[in-house]
Amino acid sequence: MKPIFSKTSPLGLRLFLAVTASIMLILTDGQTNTMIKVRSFMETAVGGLYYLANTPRTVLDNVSENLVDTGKLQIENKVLKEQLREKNADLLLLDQLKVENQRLRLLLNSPLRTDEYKKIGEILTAETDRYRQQVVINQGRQEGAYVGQPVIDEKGVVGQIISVGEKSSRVLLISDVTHSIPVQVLRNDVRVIASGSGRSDELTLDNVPRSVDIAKGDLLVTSGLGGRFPEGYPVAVVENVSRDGSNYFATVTAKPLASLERLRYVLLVWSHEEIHKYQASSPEDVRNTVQQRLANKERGVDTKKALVTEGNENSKENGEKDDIAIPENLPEMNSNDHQVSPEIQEHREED
Amino acid sequence: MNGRFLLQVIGLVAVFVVALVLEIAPWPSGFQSFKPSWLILILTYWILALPTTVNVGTAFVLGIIWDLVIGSILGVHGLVLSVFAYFVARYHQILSNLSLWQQSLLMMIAVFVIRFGIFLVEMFIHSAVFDWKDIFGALITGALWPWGFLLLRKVGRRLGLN
Repeated sequence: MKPIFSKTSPLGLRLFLAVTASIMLILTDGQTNTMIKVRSFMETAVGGLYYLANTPRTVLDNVSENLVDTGKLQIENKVLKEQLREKNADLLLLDQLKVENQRLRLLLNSPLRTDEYKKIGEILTAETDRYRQQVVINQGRQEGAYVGQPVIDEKGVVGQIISVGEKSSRVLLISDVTHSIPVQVLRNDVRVIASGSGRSDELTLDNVPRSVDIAKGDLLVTSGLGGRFPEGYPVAVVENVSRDGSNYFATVTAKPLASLERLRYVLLVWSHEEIHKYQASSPEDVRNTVQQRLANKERGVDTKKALVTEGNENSKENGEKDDIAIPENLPEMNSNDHQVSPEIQEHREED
Repeated sequence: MNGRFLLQVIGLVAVFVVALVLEIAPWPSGFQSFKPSWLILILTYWILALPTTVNVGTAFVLGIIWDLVIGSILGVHGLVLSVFAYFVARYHQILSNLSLWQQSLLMMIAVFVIRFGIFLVEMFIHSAVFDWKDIFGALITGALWPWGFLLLRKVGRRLGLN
């Protein structure tokens, strides 16, 4: 006999409850602060899954690393050393230019450019909703990541962090349909907004008047407007401009410079104020990580030497560089600058 | 008896964790649409096997976790999965009496309908384009059904759930 007050409610009622709850969730997700907090809490709870799903790859990577043949490693080492030497030579010039730039800006009374602190993060998974362009990285609240933080790779802007868990966080790529980024044309400082199109190789520029001077091959860099992305990072190259007579606006598409489909390592950027915030919490930690990195064998002996020598140079120059940053932070900043590709450096020098 | 019950719950949770991990496991980027829907496959089996314990509630919770893990708006997959679970649990007697290949045919249709449902919800929230190659993913899920069914039945027997 069926009890009148059975413990389980009938299926229809359950369905009704589930559907109502889902619709409520869809409508409120991301709208209020509480929901963002709840979501970040749950993100932490499921964070372990990403590491679990990533284990096969980590194991295979380790195996292949152990099986690499010595000859190949030696050649690679040689090439890397040469590259490092070249980059270091470029950096010498860059440092001088930076100081010169600061002085000129002081003369012009324009705001000083602040240095950024960068840190490498690794992609945990890119398997996300097919209607979204997102990746999950292995840097979370513990490492100082925050919602809205810009993320770049060695070629250009990748996106920004939209939710942070304890040990992992989610990055919205610039190619997502819900993402837009303020940019300017490097050649003539025309300001536009680049929105994602849902495809990883295309951005569209919104509301560009037909008469605007923008051409195929123009480099788009972040304009720093909106205050999210620091100024001057390359974003995309204009690929196609069509000025249709029947339309008031030109249809412009651009190709992102960052390899959004093949992301493996990304750089998280802390702008100047955030460095202070981050350091205020734990200056010891930062020093420790610097020392850890110096001792880190993965970086190779040569890098270690380079870092140390750079550190010395910086301490010499510190007298002039008071306004830039805290000395103990400098070696790391410069070491991360190694990631910058030659083209970008050219552009920076043009700046 | 209590220990046994605990074991069964842990076993079930472990199976669903495996499904979620498979769902976010790396997959070649050109073949995204060919990816089988592991979670739907495993959820369907357990609804058919234990229609009174695993049904709409489980599907809803699982859908929310799925949303969290793949980063879509909370509730999208929860909504579609709970509707799906309702129909499977409602007609579980008819469905479980069908032969394996008939079930796998229905599975293909079900997965396709679920993916289309997710697309409709996404389109309601913001613009989205349906990828017709998703049919292949549905076909592959259906083709995997007999093996999945037999494997999961073995797991269920080991746990003493059938």
